[in-house]
Amino acid sequence: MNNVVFTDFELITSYGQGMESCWEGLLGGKSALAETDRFDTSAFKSSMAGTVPGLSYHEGTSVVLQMLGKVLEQHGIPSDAGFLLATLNGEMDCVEQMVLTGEGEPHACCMNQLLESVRELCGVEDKGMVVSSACASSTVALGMAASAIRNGERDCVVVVSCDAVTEFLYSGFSSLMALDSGKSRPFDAEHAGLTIGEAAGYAVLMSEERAIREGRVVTGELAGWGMSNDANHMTGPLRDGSGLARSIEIALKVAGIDEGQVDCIAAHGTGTVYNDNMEMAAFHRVFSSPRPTYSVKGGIGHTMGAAGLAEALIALKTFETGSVPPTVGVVSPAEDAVGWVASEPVEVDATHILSTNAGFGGVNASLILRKGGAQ
Amino acid sequence: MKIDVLGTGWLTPSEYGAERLGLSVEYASRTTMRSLGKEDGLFAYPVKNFGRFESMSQRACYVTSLALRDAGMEYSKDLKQDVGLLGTDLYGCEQANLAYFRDYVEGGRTLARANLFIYTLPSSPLAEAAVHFGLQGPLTYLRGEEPSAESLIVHAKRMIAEGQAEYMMVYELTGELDRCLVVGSTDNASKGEF
Repeated sequence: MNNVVFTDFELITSYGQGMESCWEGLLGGKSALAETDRFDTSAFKSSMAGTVPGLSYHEGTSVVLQMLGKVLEQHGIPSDAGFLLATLNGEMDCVEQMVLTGEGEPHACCMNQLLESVRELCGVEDKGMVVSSACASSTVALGMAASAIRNGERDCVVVVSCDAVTEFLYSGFSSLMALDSGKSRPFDAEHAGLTIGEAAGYAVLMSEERAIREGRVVTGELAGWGMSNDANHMTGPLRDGSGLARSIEIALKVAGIDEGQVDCIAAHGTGTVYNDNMEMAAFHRVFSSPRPTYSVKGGIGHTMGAAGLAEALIALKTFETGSVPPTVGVVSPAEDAVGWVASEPVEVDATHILSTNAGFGGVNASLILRKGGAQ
Repeated sequence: MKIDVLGTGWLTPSEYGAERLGLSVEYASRTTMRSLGKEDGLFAYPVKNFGRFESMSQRACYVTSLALRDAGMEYSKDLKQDVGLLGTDLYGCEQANLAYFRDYVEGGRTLARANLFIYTLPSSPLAEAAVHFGLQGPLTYLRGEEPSAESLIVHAKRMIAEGQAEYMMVYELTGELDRCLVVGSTDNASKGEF
């Protein structure tokens, strides 16, 4: 079986373009969430969002394609790479325009259209596949890509992911009473909801053998992946955390490690009471002792289907720097997060990092990232 | 371990059936698709809020029930099973997206309906099936060049082989012909483990 390594990636978030601006913002405890003027929020509980600066809205190219245009500008994606596009629901601003103007071709906003546009930006030969698994979409896509490489069906796969802040999503989450009126505060004692954010990025996964052969710079290994479903409720998670715990256990097994070898946790941490409580319940189930745990969503917001990719790429920085970022927005951790979540960076020489995501429909997905790989 | 298709349920606008059982039932001349579950007893127990589901979720539940029956797999309200779901269709949740946003705009862009919003994910029909049938394996929507169940089987087999789930339900929901295939180890089938 082949080891699977990260050889190239890029990310754009509300901190701006590039991993460095995102990392510095998170490590410095600064939030990139702010009031949005992208659409009228006066009817909603919140006006906060994590939007990428300098993008246009309802003026031609969709927000996700604008973001991807930036992150894929100087990509190093091999043309023979397999191709997976992970998104919650693609170009929702396109749907909005179609409804608001009454114009547009049938199926123009469908994800298979977006798939083709992104394929052209990537310059890959593979026709590709859309992966949509609610807010765990890119985590599932990374797992599927790694699985194909480990089993020798591919030696390189690019996972591209994107989701945008739109009125469509904002009004929907508002209808579910899921928004924090201010900036989201995952795992804080006063957590009260999520803040919607946007992000786009890509990661090139390669077999270790090919990476060595081509002299690629390796930033970490994707060692394990696990997926599960709560089979419980369309929008509410299984409160005892057993569903997410199941995906963590599978990921540990695929990675061939036990819970004691996980050094820190890049949690989903949306800021909603239901999610955060469920997630901490899962961690308490799986782990015999607390591990440094953080969420990036107080910094960049909940970036929907792109959340897992962003979190995995940010976690790779921990291997490089030895720092676990703080959870931006945490003042006083919730009772079940005491000893796990911090408001300051923590120094950890991590070998294994767990990254988790969960979403509507009871979806759960977990990744185990390992330091090193081919050098 | 040999992994193969163990059962198939299917549904068209006029008929439904199960492949291995050789079941084929015409229903359009006597009832609607929406009433089918109740009138023909297609579910072992009532699907909660079934009348509020959008069409694709209802169809996903029908073919799930038929496929499980075809594979000889029982399900019950209190039982969760190590079964995942992979599905594809023609246009994702395009109709649900338009229905949700039109309703929101017609309402003055102030209040949205949560019950319409939850179907604006292409994975939602699979999720409704997972909730009712207690399927707790991986769940994801996939859309490649062609929306065919056969193109997803390779992913289902790999997931079973690496221990993500014991069985996978593979869906192709096109409306003209909806299908659900149960994929699993033939060792289990021959041992009568389900």
